[in-house]
Amino acid sequence: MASGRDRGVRGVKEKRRQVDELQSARSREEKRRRVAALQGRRKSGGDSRKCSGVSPIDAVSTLLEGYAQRGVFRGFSRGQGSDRKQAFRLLWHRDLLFELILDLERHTLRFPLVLPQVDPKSAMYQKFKEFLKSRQSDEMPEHRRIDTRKSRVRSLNRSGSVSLTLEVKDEDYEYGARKLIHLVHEIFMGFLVDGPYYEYMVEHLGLNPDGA
Amino acid sequence: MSGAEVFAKLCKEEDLAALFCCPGNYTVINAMAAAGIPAYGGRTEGAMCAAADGFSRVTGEVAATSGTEGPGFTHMIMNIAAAHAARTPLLVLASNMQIAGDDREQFIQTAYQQPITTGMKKYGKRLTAPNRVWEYGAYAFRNLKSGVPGPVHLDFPAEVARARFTDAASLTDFYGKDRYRSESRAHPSAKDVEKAVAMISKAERPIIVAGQGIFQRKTWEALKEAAEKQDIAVVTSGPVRGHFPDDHRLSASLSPDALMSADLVIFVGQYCMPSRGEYRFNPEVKAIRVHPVQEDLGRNWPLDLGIVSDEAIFMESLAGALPVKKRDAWVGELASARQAFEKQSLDVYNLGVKYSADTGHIHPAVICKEIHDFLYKGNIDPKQTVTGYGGWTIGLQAGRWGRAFRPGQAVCCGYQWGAIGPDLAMMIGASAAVQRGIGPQAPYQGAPVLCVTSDAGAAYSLFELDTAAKYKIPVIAVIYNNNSWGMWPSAVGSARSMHMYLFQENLRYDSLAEGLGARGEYVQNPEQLREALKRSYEAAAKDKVSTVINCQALKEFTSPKDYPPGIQLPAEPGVGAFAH
Repeated sequence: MASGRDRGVRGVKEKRRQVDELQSARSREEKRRRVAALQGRRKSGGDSRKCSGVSPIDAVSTLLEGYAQRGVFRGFSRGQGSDRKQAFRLLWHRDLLFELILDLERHTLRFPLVLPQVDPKSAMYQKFKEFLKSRQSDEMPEHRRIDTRKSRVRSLNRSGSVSLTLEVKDEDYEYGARKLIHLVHEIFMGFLVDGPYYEYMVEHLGLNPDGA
Repeated sequence: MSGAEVFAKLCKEEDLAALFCCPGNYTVINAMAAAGIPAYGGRTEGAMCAAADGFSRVTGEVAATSGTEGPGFTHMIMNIAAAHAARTPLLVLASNMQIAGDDREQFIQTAYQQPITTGMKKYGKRLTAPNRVWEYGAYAFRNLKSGVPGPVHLDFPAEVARARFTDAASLTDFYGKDRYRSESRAHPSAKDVEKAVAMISKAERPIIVAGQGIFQRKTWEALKEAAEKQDIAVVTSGPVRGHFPDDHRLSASLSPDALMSADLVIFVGQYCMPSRGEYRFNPEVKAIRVHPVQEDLGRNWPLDLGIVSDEAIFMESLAGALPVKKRDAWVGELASARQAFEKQSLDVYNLGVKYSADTGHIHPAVICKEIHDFLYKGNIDPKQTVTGYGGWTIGLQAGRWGRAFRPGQAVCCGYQWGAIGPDLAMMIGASAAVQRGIGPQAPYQGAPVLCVTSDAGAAYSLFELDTAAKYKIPVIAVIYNNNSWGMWPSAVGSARSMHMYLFQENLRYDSLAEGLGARGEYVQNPEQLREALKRSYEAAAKDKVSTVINCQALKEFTSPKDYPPGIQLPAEPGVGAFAH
């Protein structure tokens, strides 16, 4: 069994690896943008006029980048993707790397892993599902609520790994992305903190008991 | 005059409010006491340092601490660091052998002090030129009383403390405080105030985070005026609470769920700045920060508007410039969130009542609710009693149940530094301020002070009950006795480690208190606690006698597996917040 120190060292190495990966993804993204900008200039003969329509992928990307600019994420990159599907990586709560996948074919935005090691039959998972329901309920103030006419969120627990999928009903991907980000933020800032999950956070989310 | 007397004269002219020390640095502390600075001598330097910090936290005034070179000084370290984390204007003094013996380990206790306080002070200096003692005293107070406060550390070699001066001409820069520092403060530009007013007026759910600077600059009236003009929510932060009353309809300190709804946050005097994921605001929230020094604007939290300004001047400008606006929906949301928070706390309390009855040991939520009802729901003026809390399991509960209705009423002893242990000594210092009626404590002069701490924490400060008895500084110390360090769950699953987390069971801290000249009470259920609180309060108010109430608990109350919900971290900012 690994000692706390061993786990700590592995944690540091893993974090470094994630940060390196994020930085290289960020450079790839910058390069991609420069190339796209050059190509755009070539196509339009150097015309700097903006496109009239913004693709959902660009709209979501701009939104997420805005969060990074505002310090919500400590790191952000646009990963590999196509014109119908795009992955984003966010260095976020507890300095963990989150992946968000936008899928235009399925009309979804999905976090494949939000919480690890949650027993599907546990009280914690039941409470989690209730929490999700409450965020989509009319009892929530309008500015906090996920409008179910526009989007619907569901969770899936596969062998303890909890994912979240938001279905976009009206093509408003920016709204969906915004609400999904808010939801995950509330899970970490509210659900986990307000509930009896201190030990869970220590064991599975890297909360340092010495510094808690 | 001696060098020590010159320094003491300067401290007196600066109205230094108190000195907490242990013997050592004799020339300096004797000169300070002789100059008329209220002085208190205690049992350990570390605890006296915490007492000075506590005195300052509830008054905003500069307080000093002193110890002997080497051992006395190094004993203070934890609490100098705690004061630094809390941005306390604390003057740390220590003797330091003789310059003539530097680098020779001559006799005993040779050490370089200044490197040891690196990273935990605002300014520090080993005085080496005797004739510059006044000049460096001025450096000290310039730092203590300007900008963002913090500890200042001066160490006095004997050549400086004992130097003799017969002519003022031999002292460098020997002029008064009107010349060596200024009361002039940074004003916000009219344009910045205009921008702030526009952003606030446009917001639907604005909130002010009223940090320590509001208290330090005593600008709570202007804060209230500005908040009420536009129905702006206010949540307090910092090592002391009460500069916006918890029972005000606009207070968000007990409304953690509403924090997530705010669309504009205005940080004013937030000295210890959190990162975005540390305060419960939503990802869209816009941010204005008002701070007296430019260098800190933008650190940790990207800003939409940064304003360099003294907190008092900004709040007065804002209160004057804001047009009247009502935000009924926002006020309603604050009230609903407060109800939800109080219900959640009551649910845990009701579980605690059951656990207490089942086990014959008193649960932390029950202890804190009983104290709450005694101080705020009974015959005592709810604004009267200054409280402070620390510890882990008990500290988290005490944070939830503690209230502050006026400036300087509640101290978060573990603020930022998270030290377990200074609590009781810190509250003895706070009580010294209350007994003398210093600053915001004036209307409640002579009232008892209450401290909630743990058995682990008590070990660091309990002996200062002797000091409290000696000076008739009453403190009611409620000790949560769960026979362990609160972090014992870290050893679950490691049978060979657990012993390191445990104490002897059912130790009698109340008996120890009696041996030190205080009263002792031993309680195991809520009824006993209720009666003990009454007796202790009366003894404190009438006879100026301190009491330890030993509340016998179980370590398993910490564990969510054994007694759900176990411990719960607080939402920040708001009641119970201890990180920022």
